[in-house]
Amino acid sequence: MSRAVKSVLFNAGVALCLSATLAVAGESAASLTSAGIPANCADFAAKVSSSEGNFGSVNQAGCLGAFQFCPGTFERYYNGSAQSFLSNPQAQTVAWTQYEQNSWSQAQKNGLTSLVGQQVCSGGRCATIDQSAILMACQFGCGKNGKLANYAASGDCNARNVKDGNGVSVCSYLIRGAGYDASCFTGNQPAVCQESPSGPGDFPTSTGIAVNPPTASSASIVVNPTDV
Amino acid sequence: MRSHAIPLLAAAFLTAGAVAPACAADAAFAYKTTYRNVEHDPDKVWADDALAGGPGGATIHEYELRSAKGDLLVSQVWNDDCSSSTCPTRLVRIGPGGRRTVLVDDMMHQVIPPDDPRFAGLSKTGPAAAFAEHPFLLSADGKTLVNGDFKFEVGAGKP
Repeated sequence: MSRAVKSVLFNAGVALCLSATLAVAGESAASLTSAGIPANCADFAAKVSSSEGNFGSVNQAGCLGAFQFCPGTFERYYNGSAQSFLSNPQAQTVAWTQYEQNSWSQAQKNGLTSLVGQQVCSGGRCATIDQSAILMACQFGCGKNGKLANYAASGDCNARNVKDGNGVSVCSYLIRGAGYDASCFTGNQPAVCQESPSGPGDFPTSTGIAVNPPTASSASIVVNPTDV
Repeated sequence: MRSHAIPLLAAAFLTAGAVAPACAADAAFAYKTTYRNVEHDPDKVWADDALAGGPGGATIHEYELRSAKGDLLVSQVWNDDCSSSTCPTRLVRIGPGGRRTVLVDDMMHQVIPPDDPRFAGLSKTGPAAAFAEHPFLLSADGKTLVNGDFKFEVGAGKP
């Protein structure tokens, strides 16, 4: 095999390995909830994980877990070895929750949340930008010189400076991420319509009455664990 | 940011013969150094305001390539502007007198720090090891910086 062909295959191999998580569907909303993601934000978490990996995933760029924390991010959000991180779903959801919260703060600091409410169209699809769309697009970075900031400045989804090294526009991620409840990370109630609870036990534990239960002395009915 | 790589990969395999000459002599950047917890870049690629990476400052990883056309430096900063997988990265030409010219300024895949014990248990063979050792390549014609599945056009640059 010629050196040239080897070079091509090497580059292709690296590309494949960097994309190795395509082979997995990511973690489900149920498994992410079990690992600590609040139920109302589990669909958004699963959407992100679907393009990243499973709890045990490692790609060839050293990116780890269900949300593919690459070395710099891993170093910042987890104090331990790669192997211990991979075997600890709870640690992954804790780290990712902190990462998302920091991303939202940075998006606010850099004025990127002003995009909320605007319509974005790319690749024949359109969406109204909301909180979850911003957070999904922060996978391109939420810095003041990042792709999302460039889009906020120009409004052009086809500009070179809103695309990654593969030519993918940040707009595709704005559209992909729109319509989910990300209030667990933003601290704000979502603008999207949420499914109404229809029976006992349907209330998510992070919102509404379940997060602010009455005291036992003021409650009209008290159910003890032994009563269930 | 991965779903787009498969078509490119397929194209790479299917057209291997056609594109091979351009890749025949890709030059790999070699690891140079890492500056941890810095508030000033010793090599002056990044301004101080780019080094906001937490209480102790940011981390800078550098890779170098020496060629007949001059010395090239890739500098990646781990700061607040990183995404979960990419960080701000610059390709800089070092000219006479140490003059820096930025040729590429973009978000690139985070490097794997050499000899980081936390990654000791991961694979050390195949493309994993190749990417860890040489995360940046320069195409034979000098016009493209390759970073894994990312490609960046090398511009004329700005001081």
